[in-house]
Amino acid sequence: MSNQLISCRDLSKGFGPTLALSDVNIDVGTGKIVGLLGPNGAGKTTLIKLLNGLLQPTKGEILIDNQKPGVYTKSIVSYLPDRMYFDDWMKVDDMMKLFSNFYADFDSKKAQEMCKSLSIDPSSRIKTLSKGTKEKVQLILVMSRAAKLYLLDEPIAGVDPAARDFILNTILTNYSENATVLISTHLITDIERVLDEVIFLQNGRVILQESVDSIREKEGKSVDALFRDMFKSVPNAGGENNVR
Amino acid sequence: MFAKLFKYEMKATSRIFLIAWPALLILALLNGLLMNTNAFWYQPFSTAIVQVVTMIAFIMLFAAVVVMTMLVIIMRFYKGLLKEEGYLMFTLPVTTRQMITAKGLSATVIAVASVIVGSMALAALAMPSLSPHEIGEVLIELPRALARIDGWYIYLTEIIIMGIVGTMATIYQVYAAMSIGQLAQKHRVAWSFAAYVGISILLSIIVWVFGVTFPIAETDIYTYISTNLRRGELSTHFIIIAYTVVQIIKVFAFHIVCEYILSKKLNLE
Repeated sequence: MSNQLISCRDLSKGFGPTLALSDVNIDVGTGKIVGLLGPNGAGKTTLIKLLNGLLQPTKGEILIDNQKPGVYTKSIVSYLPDRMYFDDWMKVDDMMKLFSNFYADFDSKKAQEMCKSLSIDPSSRIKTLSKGTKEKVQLILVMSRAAKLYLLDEPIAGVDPAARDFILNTILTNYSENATVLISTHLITDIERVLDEVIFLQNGRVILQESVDSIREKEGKSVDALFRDMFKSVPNAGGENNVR
Repeated sequence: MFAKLFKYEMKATSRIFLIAWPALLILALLNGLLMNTNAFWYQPFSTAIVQVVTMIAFIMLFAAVVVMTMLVIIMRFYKGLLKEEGYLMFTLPVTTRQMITAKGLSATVIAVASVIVGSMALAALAMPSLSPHEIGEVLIELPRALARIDGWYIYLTEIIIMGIVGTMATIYQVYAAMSIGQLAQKHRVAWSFAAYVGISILLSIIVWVFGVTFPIAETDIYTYISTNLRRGELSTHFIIIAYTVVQIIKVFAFHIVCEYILSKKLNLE
């Protein structure tokens, strides 16, 4: 039994001939906000989908809280995908009911309060909401769970700077102390201030896993500057097949 | 968890039908009543118009219910599991087996309910044009006709079960085809159609091979049963049960295909 929340051993995932991830070894403990960083097509989404059990590894092993992805891990993982997953007919209310039905750790009151503070009417039909509001609803649902692990796939990609701040504040104020948040993004500047640790992915490989403090100490620069340096030397980095 | 899934699925599936079914029944009754104001050609023109319009509305709604039943069943699986909504469903703390079963059961309930409502609508259409005397005759004659068949209630139960299981097998075949289509990187809908045709061909071959020793052609099972029922052959029970068992095997086989693909080979777009 390891005390790591996430542990991946020699994890590889191929789609046909292309390898989206190859021999990934990572350990992530509890109580951290971890940035999963890398250019487009680096394998960030693939890794998150593997952690969720939405994909099965071609090779290697994933353990979340010492268990393979399955019913248990799904009950402790709160996942924000990089797309909208609402069915057209549903109202915000319906989604809240669905979450509280299936997730024991869902806090309906918290979700209601968050809706209120963002002036989202819970009785509104999700289809009629703007894209940004839909993203907020999805984030509210995900962050209203007291999960052990939050997997947030590009949570700030498509929203305006004000919404970006809101999202980051939500993440910071809502996650519990013994939970870990894994955020994938390529917009580093915006989230650097909240990160404890970073994992750099490139072409399906982990090229760095380090705490933000030690990067600043050792390299004497910000994560953003380091990221720019590391990926500058590789023209067209991540230009290979953009694996969905 | 299964109960919750099933409830959610029923809610999502039955939404349109909770309007469409009552509307169909009301239109049928209305049509029946209007037709009963007999001597169509001697009506004032306005009444005739109303009659024609309600009749067209009824036919269109009837067709719509048939198409909607098939479409909703397909889309609840395709959109609900294999498209964006799959990101939600496959990360719920439930097993893939529970998810497929919830879909399959709710789809069967909807399909059977549509058949029942459709039959009721046709009865409602005919009812007002029959005189009370004629209705009375039907009510007397039907039990008499049934009584001529030994153990008719057993046959009836068997045939109902056979119908339900057969419906389920058809639904699961569609599910299996869509799961197989999901394996393709591109053109998944086209591959699903191809998989459906492929499975049908495979089944025909199996029936043909077994048919040499076991003469049940799937397509005319109902004709076979009705002919034999009139002749009162005992083996009819055997035929119905055998056919039902074949359908159950199909349900299990298709379920295994779906569950294997969706748990091991899932690759959401």
